[in-house]
Amino acid sequence: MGDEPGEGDHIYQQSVRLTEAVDAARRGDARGWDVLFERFHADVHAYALARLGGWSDAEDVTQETFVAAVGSIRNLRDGQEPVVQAWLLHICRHKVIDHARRKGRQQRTVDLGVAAAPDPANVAEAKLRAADMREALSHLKEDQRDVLVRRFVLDQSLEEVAAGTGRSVGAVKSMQHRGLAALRRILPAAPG
Amino acid sequence: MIADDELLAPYLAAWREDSLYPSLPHSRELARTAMLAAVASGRRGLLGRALWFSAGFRLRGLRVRIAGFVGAVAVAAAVAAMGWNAPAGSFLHGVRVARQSVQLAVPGADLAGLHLEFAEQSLADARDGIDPAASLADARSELDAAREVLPADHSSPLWTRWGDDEAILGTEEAAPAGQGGRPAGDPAGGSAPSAAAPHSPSDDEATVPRTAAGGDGSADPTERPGAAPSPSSSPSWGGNDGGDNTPPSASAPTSSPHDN
Repeated sequence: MGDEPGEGDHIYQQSVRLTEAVDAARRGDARGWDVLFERFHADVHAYALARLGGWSDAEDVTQETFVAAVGSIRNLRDGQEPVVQAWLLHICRHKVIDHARRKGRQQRTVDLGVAAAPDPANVAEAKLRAADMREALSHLKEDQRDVLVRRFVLDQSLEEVAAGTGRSVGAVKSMQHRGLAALRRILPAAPG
Repeated sequence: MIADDELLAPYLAAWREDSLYPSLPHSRELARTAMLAAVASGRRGLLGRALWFSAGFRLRGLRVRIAGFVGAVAVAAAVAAMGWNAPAGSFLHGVRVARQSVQLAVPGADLAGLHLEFAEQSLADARDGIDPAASLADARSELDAAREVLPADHSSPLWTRWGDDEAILGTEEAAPAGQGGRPAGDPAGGSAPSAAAPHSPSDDEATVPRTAAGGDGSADPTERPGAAPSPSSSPSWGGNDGGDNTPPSASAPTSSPHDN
């Protein structure tokens, strides 16, 4: 039993591996960057897609984020996973803002290209709601959008969001509350 | 709590689900390739930074050159503005001379009129007491130059003007040294020279080239009492060797308008 690696051991090994990867990335080692990419690509992509909605836009921003990360790894404090994730999401957030600024306020587009579910009607309805949600988010403050994406898409706890954004838990909770209240005013009541 | 929110829950769920679709494999590999390319180029960063620094240095050099050019233009403009009417003897008088040369070089310029204008400016400077000796010398030079290009038609107003200016110049030259300026009460125009002037109206007959036959060299209009004739003071159309001073133009008048 003692020979079996427990959950704690696994997390520890992952942590050590990530720390080593960050050290390797700092030295310009491609293998270290590969580890970071594998570990955080999904988070970065989800953040970008939650904010932008368009698939191609999200792919572009994800790519820009990792390219920019190569140039700014000296700003990374340490190799702990929450820190690395916060650092990448911070870069991604700025890339999203830049991207949105470049493109201006886009027309509402609903990408139905990946609708592979059994019931296309349900998928289409979900897509429309997601699009409505992103449209409503565009009326919120940038900080509120950031908090809501982290909380409801990336499933981060209040503490994680606070650590990732450099704010207190109370401030995060307040932002979330105000953001949700604004969404309630903006979003139309869901049919049936 | 949010799950119980009938309004927001479906939107948040749809938004979350929509955002968690995985990236397309092709796009994912493109992003990885771009990142690794950036890592590879970062290893060549020393050369890249050197090139960047070099480009920055070139940019700074260009800025310096542009600033230098703009500064030189500004200084030149300031010098031109200050020296536009700089009186004779002043540090920037060369600018005024250059400006006058340009005006004279303009095709179709009224040379006689311009020379007279320049002479009158110099006379005005002398009257104002601005280096009278240099200003009067300037005026003399301009009047001599004007006389060479005055029209053959002696009834031209330019001849009248030239005669008046000559008279004023004579008055100023005859003034005692150190009194370069005309007395304050004197009218600025000076169109009525004083009787003491060497070029009094009665002298005007001698200042206008004689066209009548038998004129001798003593009628040379450039001769001034007590003044040595300058090399440029002879009329352009005739000699002062005692010969005929008749201007080349057949329509030359027989008398100066001052005779009237």
